[in-house]
Order: sequence, then structure tokens, then C-alpha cells
Amino acid sequence: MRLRWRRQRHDDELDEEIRSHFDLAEGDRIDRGESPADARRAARREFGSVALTKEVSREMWGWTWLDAVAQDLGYAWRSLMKSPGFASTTLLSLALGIGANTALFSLINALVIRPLPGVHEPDRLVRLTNGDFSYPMFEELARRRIFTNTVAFKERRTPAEVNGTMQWTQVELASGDYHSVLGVPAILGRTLSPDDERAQAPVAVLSHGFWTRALAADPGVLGKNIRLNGLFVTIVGVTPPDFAGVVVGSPTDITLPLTLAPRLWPQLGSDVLTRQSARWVHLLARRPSGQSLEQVNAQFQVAWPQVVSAATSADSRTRSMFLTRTVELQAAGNGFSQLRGTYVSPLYVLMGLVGLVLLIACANVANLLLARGAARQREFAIRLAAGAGRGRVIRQLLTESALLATVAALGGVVLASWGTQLLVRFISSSQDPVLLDLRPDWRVLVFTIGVTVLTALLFGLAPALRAVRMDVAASLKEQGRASSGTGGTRLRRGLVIVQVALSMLLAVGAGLFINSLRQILAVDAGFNATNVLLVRAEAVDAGYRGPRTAEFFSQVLDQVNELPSVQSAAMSWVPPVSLGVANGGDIAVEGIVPRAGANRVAFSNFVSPRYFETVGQQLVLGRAFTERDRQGAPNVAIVNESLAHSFFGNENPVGRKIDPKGGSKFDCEIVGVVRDASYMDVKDQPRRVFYVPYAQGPAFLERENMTLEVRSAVDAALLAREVRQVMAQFDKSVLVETETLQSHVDGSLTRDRLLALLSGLLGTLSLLLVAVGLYGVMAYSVTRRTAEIGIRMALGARPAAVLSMVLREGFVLVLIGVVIGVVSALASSRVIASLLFGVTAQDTVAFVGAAGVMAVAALLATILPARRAARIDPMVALRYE
Amino acid sequence: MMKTPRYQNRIELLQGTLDLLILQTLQWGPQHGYGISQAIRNMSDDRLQVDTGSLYPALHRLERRRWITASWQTSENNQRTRVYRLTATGKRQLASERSRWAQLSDAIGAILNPVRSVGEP
Repeated sequence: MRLRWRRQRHDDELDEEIRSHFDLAEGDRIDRGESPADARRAARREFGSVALTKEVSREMWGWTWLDAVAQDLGYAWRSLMKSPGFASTTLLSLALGIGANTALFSLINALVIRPLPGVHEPDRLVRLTNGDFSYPMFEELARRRIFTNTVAFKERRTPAEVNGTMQWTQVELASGDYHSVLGVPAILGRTLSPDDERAQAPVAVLSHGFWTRALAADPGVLGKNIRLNGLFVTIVGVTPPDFAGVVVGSPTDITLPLTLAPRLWPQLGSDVLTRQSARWVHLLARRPSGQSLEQVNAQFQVAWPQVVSAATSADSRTRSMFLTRTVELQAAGNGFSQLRGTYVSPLYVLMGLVGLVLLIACANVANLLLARGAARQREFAIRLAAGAGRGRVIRQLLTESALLATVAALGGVVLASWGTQLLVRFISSSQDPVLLDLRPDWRVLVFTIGVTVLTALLFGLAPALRAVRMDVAASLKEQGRASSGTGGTRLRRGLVIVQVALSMLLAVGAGLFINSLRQILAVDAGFNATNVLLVRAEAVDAGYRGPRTAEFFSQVLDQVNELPSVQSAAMSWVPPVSLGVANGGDIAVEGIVPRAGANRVAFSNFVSPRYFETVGQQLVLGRAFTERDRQGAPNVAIVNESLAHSFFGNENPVGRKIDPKGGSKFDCEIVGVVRDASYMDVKDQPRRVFYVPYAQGPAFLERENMTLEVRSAVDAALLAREVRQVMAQFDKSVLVETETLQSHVDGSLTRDRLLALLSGLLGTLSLLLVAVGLYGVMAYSVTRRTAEIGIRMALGARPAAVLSMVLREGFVLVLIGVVIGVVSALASSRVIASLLFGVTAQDTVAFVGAAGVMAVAALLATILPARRAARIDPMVALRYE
Repeated sequence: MMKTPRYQNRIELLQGTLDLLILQTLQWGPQHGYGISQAIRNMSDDRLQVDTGSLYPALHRLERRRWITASWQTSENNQRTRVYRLTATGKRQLASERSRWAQLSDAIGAILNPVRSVGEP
């Protein structure tokens, strides 16, 4: 402000100084006898350009650099405001482009790039890849001292009772030196210690987030109890606000000693700490400073087989499994995340797609700028003639581009913050809430600024260079006529071709993803998801153990079946589409001697009577389960068609006997055959599955929560309320979650939906941009050729011929672009092959469809200028020049 | 008027000399811009004509370097003019510029006229 004021004063003084110069010069000349008018004119002429003198003088003051930028910006702003249509089109497309790029980068940053906050030297953390490990392995590994420290942890969503209310919490069990290894202090009380681990002490360290959310940041919280899964634990400390655990996307609420696992999560089994086959903990280590990851990895590879052998002394199966599997060290500064496996490659693909959209938007804006440049040629000519350097005009034009890009970037950032949240909500579910820290950090800032600068240069440089490459005299002589020369026609055509080609890539990608989703949705899941409600009751987590668990679920099921609104209700160990939960193993069939090495694996589920009826899985042969198939009655099983076919061929399996454990105790009779239904995933290959009555199921079911399936014509929300009431009558402390089977299935397809939806949106956006670009070029070309077309028509060309001439011109551009696009799509679509289902990366439908859609868009964009050309009146046109 | 005027280049070309001439002119007393241009013109017998497009930038540059200072004065016929005067630094600068100029013109003279030696300008 002060600078401005000072500048103003200097300006005024300079004005006055120059004025006094004129006066003095004039006075001198009059004294010498010239007439006042002559004197004045001569003084002016002698002086030369006042504006330039002022400008150069100002430069001597030393602050003109800033000044010139301010001046350029002001001018750029006014010039943009003069054409609001151009400004808003440009801003919108750029804001969308920059916003989409920022949004995806923010997400990738939050999920993959950002180092764990609140952790000391995260770059020295490494993880062991390829799955989970047993507690004995952790102990062995820690003993070998390859690493400075080794940490084991396991996280799980667990219901907690805090101040009398039940709520879901993210619980992390960790080895005793977890906090000290990560360098996380306590802001209240203390953190975990190795003593806690040894003593299996029921102590809890709260995260700052949970402490504030659930306990209102009560400073007197130490020593208080919370009930987790029926286990009382004492709060001993609170960690700082920035630390949220090591699992990205699922911030930790409560951390407890790892040795509490058997008491806290009975599902794992009471011997989980000693069982050599239990693979359940993640391993994290800190490598010694001064040793590179490669060096440590080399040492690790030598030591690892010894660790495995020592930790699997009594379990040769687990040993051979681990010895044949490569386990690597990987930098773990960015933490762990299950989301990464699912979403990293889709996010990278989408990042590529939004990058393409931004390029198309840039081409579009460059195109518009070129058209604008042609229209403003006289303005530039005047400015050049008035003494502005070419560099100065280029700077001015680049300032306009920078202003456009900056305003667009600001809009883009707003769009991005909104878009990232939308994306996260899309991939989040009530079962698996995704809580990513999406606050922009310096990486996002640098990315956005970089993208903005690049964008401004991409779309601004060529038009700016072209604008000053002109013959000033010729331009000035063309009084008032806007269009002159080629106006960068060749460049603009090239841009349209590039746009079409890029857009083809997007359209093909969208086509592939949409087609893939269609294939998935067309899969016959083998059950009928409509009107079925899934109810999960966390009885085990509320303290149910042993036979009481089965009792609880059976009684609840009976009650639900009695509800007048319920057509049928059943329960099962895993619901249809189990999302990765599976129980599989070799089975044996009486009377069949398997060939050596034959695949005898079959998966099982444990279901109540009426299960098949409730989920709508069709019984093909034999009978369904009844209430009589209980404990003590003869063991029975129902197999699916895949199992029946692979073990019995075309024979009838009903009445045959199997050993579900794969031995030779054939005590289980097959009583029915059902159609195949999705077991883990809709996208699965058909699996061999057999079903066993819940009442005859294995002992581990006593530690498992069952899922109820309820079929009813009543509205799902209403039904859910009724079911919850039934549950509450039994036990208020059991947390209940409900979800329709349909949304459960849909939830398993989130990734595919996300890709289809976003690629579809981006594809449409790019088509729109291309159509606008093509329209602009064609309309401009028709305007320029008005006279030529007039002559053609005067010489007898019919409107139809003119129409087809213009259409042809447009189509040649599109055709070249489509060919380039198809070739590059064929070359690059392999990168998304792993994300596709039921279609190859060279899917003809997607390619032809993309080309077709492009053709339609091109036709729409060309037809308007073409019709205008066909309607040209030769008489008017010939007078036009 | 078709070619781009390049005042800036001309300033570069004249810079050393113009600065010298201005400082030299101001040695005889304070003077305003117009006066300086007239003085240079008169003293060079109309051979040197100082371009105002170079003069004012030069004056402002010298002022910024604190070789001259400027103040507003009201002339006899009640006209406000910006008058420049030499500072102490400016005087020292003038002396060194003069000796530099003498060396330069000596050197150039020696090249152009190898036989005769050329005195002060």
C-alpha cells in the first residue's frame, strides 16, 4: 500500500517534470520568435514518446518489476472481463481439469505418499511383505537383532463401552515397545511398555482423537475403565494429536498390549500367541541407521529361513508354506493400508485419465486463445507500433494466461477438496469406514502450483508467441477487420487432432471400465438379493462364549422368524459374498480315490434351516436342511453344483458320504445339491462349496458371530428397526449392524463402480471439450472462407455440396485423431487389464463404441458451422471482403 | 514508424557518456532537465542532441545512485521545475568518469591515428 502511494507520488512528479520541460522548451522557442502553435508542436516532436520516456524513467526507480506485474495483471483482468464468455468457458474447463488432478493427487498423497505423521524418522521403518505372521515368528525375529527394533501389531474394529454407550472403535494391539520404537510420547500418563506385554496387562493408551471424541478430552481420564469386547481395560495414557497409528485410512483409537489378543478377540483362539500356524500379526521394524534398505534386506533374507524354521518347529505345513513364499522388506514410512491393495492402481489409472482431461482442456484453451489472438491482432499491432517490445507483449499475454490458470486453480482447489471427500465417501462403507487425513500439505500445494504453472505455459505460450509474430504494418492497414492471415489455423487444427486422440484414450478407457462393470452386473450370483436384509450381531464381542453363542443366535433367529413382516429368516457363518472370509480345505468322498495331486479343495459355510429359501439359492436335488438336522442327528451336507460335478461327474451325489476334513471318516451324508452362488466375491470363478447345518458345525463357531438373512417385503429401514428391537430384548450390549444384501453386494463392487463412473464422467467431459474445440475451429474456418464459399456458390455449388465440404473438413481432423487415439489406446490399454472383468483390454465393443461416440460428437460440433456455410448468400459473401 | 523503436538500447549505448555529460553540466550549478539538455546542445555547438527519452531515465538513475539530488523550485515566471544538483559522491564520480573517458579516448585515438598523439578533448 505504501509502495503504491509512493509510486503514485513519483508518477505525479514525473508528469509535472515533463510538463515543465514542455513549457520551458515552448517558452524558449517563442522567445526565439516562433508562433505559439509551432513552438508547441516542435517541442512535442522534439521530445518524442512521452509514454515511453515515462516508462523507462520509472524503470530507473527500481521497483518496476513488481509494478509491471501489477500493471499487467490489472490489464489482463480488464481484458478478460471484456469477454466474459471466453473467460468463464476457459475458467470452468481449467478449474475442472486442475481440480480433478488435485483431488486425485490429494487422495494418492494421503493414501500412499505421505509419511506417517507424528512418527520419529519414518523413513527408517520397514515392513515385511506378503501377508501376516505368527507371534512366535515375531519373537524369533526380534531375538535375532537384524533390526534396531521389531514391532508386531494387529488392528481390528471392536465395539467398546465408554461411559455407558456402545460404539465402534479402531483397536490396535501392539508389542510393548510399539510407542517407543515409533518415537511417540504420551501427552497424558504413559505409553505402552514391554512390561505391559509380559504381564498381559489390561491397559489402554488412547489416541488424541478418541480421547477428545469419546471422552471430551477429560484430563482425569487416567485410571478409568473402558469395556472392550467384554474385557475391562484401564486407561493409562493419551498420545499426541498428530499420531494416528500406523494404518492409513483407519486411525487408531485405542492401543493395547498384543498379549491381550486371546482375551480381547476370542475369535483368534485362546492359543493364538503360541499357535505356530496362526498368521495374524503385521511386522514392522526400524532398520539400523547407516544401513540401506538393500543391505538390511540382504541380511534379512539370510536370517529369515532360520526364523521360519525356529518358529514352525511343530508345524511343517506352515513351515513349507513360508519357506516357499518370498518375504521382502519394504520401506514403511507411509504406514500400512489395506486400501492400497484395492485402490492404488485404480487411483493411478484415474490420475492418468484426469491428466489427459487437463491436457485436453489446455488444448481447448490454447485453441480459444489462438482464436482470440486472431481477433486481437490489431490491438497487438497498435501496441507494438506504439513502442511496446515484443517481449513485453508476450509477457502481457502470458500474464493473462497465468491469471486464468491461477483463478482456475483456486476454483480447482475448492472443487478438489469437495471431490476428494466425495471420493472417500464413495469408497467408505459403514463396515469399513475410510478415514483419510485429506488436509492439503506442502506436497499437494507444490503439485497444484506445478500443475497450474505447467498448464499456463502449455496453453499460453504458443498463442502468445504467435500473437507477436506478425507484420505490424499489414495488420494496421487491415482496418478493423478482425481475421487476417492464417490466424494459426494449422496450429489450431493440430490441437484439435491432439484433443481427439487424447479424448479417444479416455473414451476407450471409459468404454472398457463400463463394459467391465456391465459384465460384472450380468454375472448370475446364484442368489436373489432383493428384499433381503443382512443383520450382524456382535455377540462374541459382547462377551458371549461357548454354547451360549449358539444359544443366543438360535433364539434371536426364532424370534425374528416369528415377526409378522418376515417371510423367512436364516443365518449363516458368512453371508453370500463373504468379502474374502473363507473356510476352505481338502475334502474326501467315500468310494472315490483321488488321483495324486488332484485338487480336492472345497469351501464351506455353516447355515441354518431355511437359508437357501431365504437368500433365494435354488435347490436342484434332494432336500434342504430342517430343524431335525441338529447336534446328535446324523451329519448331513448340501453341496453346490460345482462340487457335485467335479467329484461325481454326472452321478447323483445325494446319499453319498464325505469327510469334510479330508480324512477317511466318512460320516457326513450329502442330502441335497444347490445351484452355484458367489462365495467370496461376485467376480469369483465358481467354487466348490458345501453347506453344513449350523447346529452340526465345527467348534470354532462358538467364537464366531453369525449373520442373519431376513427376507421380507417390508421396507428395509422399518424391518431393521423391528429386528433391532428383537435383539435389544435379548441383550442391549450386543452391537447390531444391518445392511440390505443388495447394498452388501454393491459394496463389494465399489472399485469397479468407481472406475466406471469416473472414467465415464471424464470421458464425457473430454468429449464435450473436444466438441467445443472442434466447433471453434470449424466455425472460424467457415468465417474465414465466407468469400471463397460465396464464390463457389455463385459459380453453382449447391448448398448440399458446401455442407458436405465443411463436414468433410471436420471429419478429416477427427479421423486422424481417432486413428492416433486408437493406436495409442491399443498400445497402452494393457496397463488397466488387471482392473477389468470379463473384457479384454482390446475389447472391440469399447473401441468401436468410443470411435462411434466420438463420431457423433464430431458430427454435432461440425454440423452447425457446416449449415451456416451452406446458408451463405453469395451476394452478401462477395461484398464481405 | 514501422520498426520497433529501441530506446532502451540507445540508452545502453550512450549510458557512460550521457552520465558524464550530465554530471559535467551540473558542475556549474543546479539545473533542471530542460536546462541540462539545452546546455549539452549549446556547449557541443548543436552537435550533440540529448534525447529526452534517454535524459530523464538517466537523471532518475543518477538520482537513485545518489550522484545527484533533486528538489522542486519555482522559477522567475512562477513555474515549478525539478532542479538537479551534484552531490559529493557525484563530484567524485565525475572526476573518475572524466579520467576514464580521457583514457578511453586516448586509446581509441591511438588506434585510429597511430602517428599523431591526441591530447585532451
